[in-house]
This record gives sequence, structure tokens and C-alpha cells, in this order.
Amino acid sequence: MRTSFALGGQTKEIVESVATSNLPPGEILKRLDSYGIDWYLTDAGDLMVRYWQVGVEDFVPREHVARIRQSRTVPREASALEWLSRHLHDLRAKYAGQWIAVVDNQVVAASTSLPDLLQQVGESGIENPFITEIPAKPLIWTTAYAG
Amino acid sequence: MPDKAFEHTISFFQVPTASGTSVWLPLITVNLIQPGGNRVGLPLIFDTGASVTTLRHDLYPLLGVPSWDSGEPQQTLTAGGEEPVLAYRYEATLEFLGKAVRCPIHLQVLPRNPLYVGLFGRDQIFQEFGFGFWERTHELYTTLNP
Repeated sequence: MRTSFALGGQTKEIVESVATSNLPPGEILKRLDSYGIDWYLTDAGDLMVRYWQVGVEDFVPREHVARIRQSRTVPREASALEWLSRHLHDLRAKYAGQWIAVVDNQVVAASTSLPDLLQQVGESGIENPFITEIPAKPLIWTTAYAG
Repeated sequence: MPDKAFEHTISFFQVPTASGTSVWLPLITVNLIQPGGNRVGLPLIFDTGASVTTLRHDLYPLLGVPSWDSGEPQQTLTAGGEEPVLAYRYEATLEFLGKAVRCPIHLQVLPRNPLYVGLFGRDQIFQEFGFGFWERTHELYTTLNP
């Protein structure tokens, strides 16, 4: 089995995929923004990108990761989902019963109504928000679904 | 046994529970491309038991439909119940790891959870991607070139 690690490998794949597509440069740069990939255009017109890569594999035991991460700022490329999972307690205290839109690890809009949230997002010109609802009721984590 | 190659490793999410323990969940973020072209990121739970990608019924505004029950009605069995439940079928475009796939979507009443608003299921999606699980390391492996 061959695997690559999520941050470096995934970003590199996305950059290669986007950069070799037939999209115009402006659209490609918008795509990179939507993926949270930092980019810079040189004077010569070359596209530079910055992404994470693995420094040391198995650096700490997996069971210690969550505790160590708590004191760290989430890097920009880390997903809204990761940010959400780490701040769930605070978000539930503030937004219980509301839909929220998250961009760059911030709640940029909230409403008890999804259509209203989408209207806020549209009027603010927010692109590619991460959307979910923060339930007011206690959460049950054990699941058995099959659609 | 043939070798399978995967370009992406996606770690499960470790979520602390109220009882002080934690659970590991195979959660992913998928972009739903709305009819007007706007992208919205949605958290979904990976569910190989789901025949079709299924979203919470109250997400219907994202599909540009007037109500959650305006699609084609479907009887659906769930692992948690003996009787079929009602779902409504639509089509939508989902984007995962930069690859967009047109696929069927069911809207169905699902439990509420902030970390997933639906189930990432098989129909068409599993044709376009290859997936491997490694529960012991809490990792999901993905290829865009199955």
C-alpha cells in the first residue's frame, strides 16, 4: 500500500490538478484560495505556492495529539471541521440551536434559519463557507446508519 | 491480493464525549456545488453502508428546491430500524478533494450533529474514488484514480 500524508500530499495533488487544468489563471487562483492554499505571483509571472509537509513521522504518540494540539493555533490549511471539533464546547454555549457559517476558523454568520443564513452569506459576498448546525439538544455519538 | 495505491490519507476525528471518553469518527468535508455555482462546505460522515449520499432534510435550500419532500420519494431502510423510512431523491454535484461528481442525493430526517449533516454514501461516489480503511490507525485512505 502506498500512501502520502494528508497535508503535503493532498495539497500538492490539488495544486497539480488545478494548475494543469484548462481554467484561466484567475480562476485557478480563486480555486487555490478556496482550498486555503497560500500563493504568490513572482514578477516573472510564476506561481508560487506554500503548503505543509511532514517533518517527522510518528513524532508523538497518537493518544497525545489531541492534548498537545489544544494549545496550538490551527494552521490556515487545517479544515473548518477540525476547528469546529476543537471548539465545539464553546460553540454550543454560544450558538446552540443555530446554523453557522465558518470561514478561516471564524463564525462569519449565524441564524436559526438556514435560508436566512444563506441570505447573510450571499449578501456578504462570502465564498465557500463551511455550514453546519449547532444542535441545542445533547449529542449522541454512537451511530448505526445505512441509507 | 492486488496492491492498491492511495494518494491521500485522511485522519479520523477524535471527539471528546460528555462522559469523558472519546470517539473516532471518519468525517470529511465535501463541497456541495449549488445550482448557481456557489460552493458550500458540508461535514459528512463516511458511511459505506449508505447506498446513496444522504443529507439532513432541512438542507433542502442548498439544492435549490422548494421543500425537502419535492423530490422523488424513496423507501429507505436504516440500520437502526425495522421499518423503511421516507427519503426524497435529487441530483447534485459534490466536490471532494478537488474532484466534482454528479450524484444522487437523498434528503432524509437524520439525527442532528454539528460534526456531520449527512452520510457520504456509495452511489456514483464510490465509482469515482477508491477508499480504504485502517481503523487501528484511525485513517481513511483515498485515491482519485480507482
